[in-house]
Amino acid sequence: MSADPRIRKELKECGEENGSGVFAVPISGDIHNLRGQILGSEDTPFQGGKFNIEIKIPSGYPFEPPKMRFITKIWHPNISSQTGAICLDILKDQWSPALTIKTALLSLQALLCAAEPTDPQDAVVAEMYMKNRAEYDRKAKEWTDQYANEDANEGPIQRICEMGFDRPSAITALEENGWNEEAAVNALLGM
Amino acid sequence: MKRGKYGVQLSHNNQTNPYQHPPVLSPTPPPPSPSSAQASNLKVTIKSLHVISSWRWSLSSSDDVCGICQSPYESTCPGIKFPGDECPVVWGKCRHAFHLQCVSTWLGGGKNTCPICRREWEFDDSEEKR
Repeated sequence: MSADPRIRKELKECGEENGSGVFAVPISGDIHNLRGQILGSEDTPFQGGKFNIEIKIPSGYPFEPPKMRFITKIWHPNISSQTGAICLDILKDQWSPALTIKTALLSLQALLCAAEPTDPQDAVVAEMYMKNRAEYDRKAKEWTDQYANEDANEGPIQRICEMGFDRPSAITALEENGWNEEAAVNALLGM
Repeated sequence: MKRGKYGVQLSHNNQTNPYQHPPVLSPTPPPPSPSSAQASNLKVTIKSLHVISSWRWSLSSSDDVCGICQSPYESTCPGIKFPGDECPVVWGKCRHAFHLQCVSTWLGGGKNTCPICRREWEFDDSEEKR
């Protein structure tokens, strides 16, 4: 039982600039391997940030949840500051086949507004969130400005695209290599 | 050619614009009268009938698509060839409707909740009998 028609339909509805603040696009035409993006909401330390999400659609979709991970580094109690792993119930046991890639991304956007420090993915961040909220806000904003600021990183993205790689692949490689251009190019070339 | 009132295609042998002089089909045509047939120049010959019908599941839900496969209820869920009886729509007691195969796959995965409202899923047979 293939879910490809459903995935294609979903992608039509959550393409770039659909006005909802989240989108998902296939990487190199592979509809099971997507790059999602959510905009940080206003009045949060993530305001102005563009957060990229790795989305893998399992063969059991939509009966199994999409696998999502932040590839943009983010300072948040429910997201690992090291791996980008996300702790969100609807991406685990509370998934329902009536949910979609778009609703899952919107839930992630909501998670950025309302952290659940009692069910943390990153204990260090959660402890800071609960014990020193001002310091947490400062650091979350610092990371947003440093890692989620795609415009400031436009130069390296453009240069890698000019080498013939597509934009989602370029951004993914740069983010996975801490915005080190040379390391990103080597990763893309499989070196 | 013009689509008639009852979904039939009509062809007629006079040269008048059918939009100005639409032939009229009545479900119970009046008995033919030789004098009135001679009085009219309009002769209608039905050469072929192309009858079209459509069907829909009688759903109380406002959605047109199954919440699981996101295909129209009248269409089929993946893996099923023909719509209708081979891909029936079933209801839960919570009034939510899905393709039988879609909700069966979900329930077969060890879940017992409605995908939409998360209430415990129980098939509602009464709705099917309506």
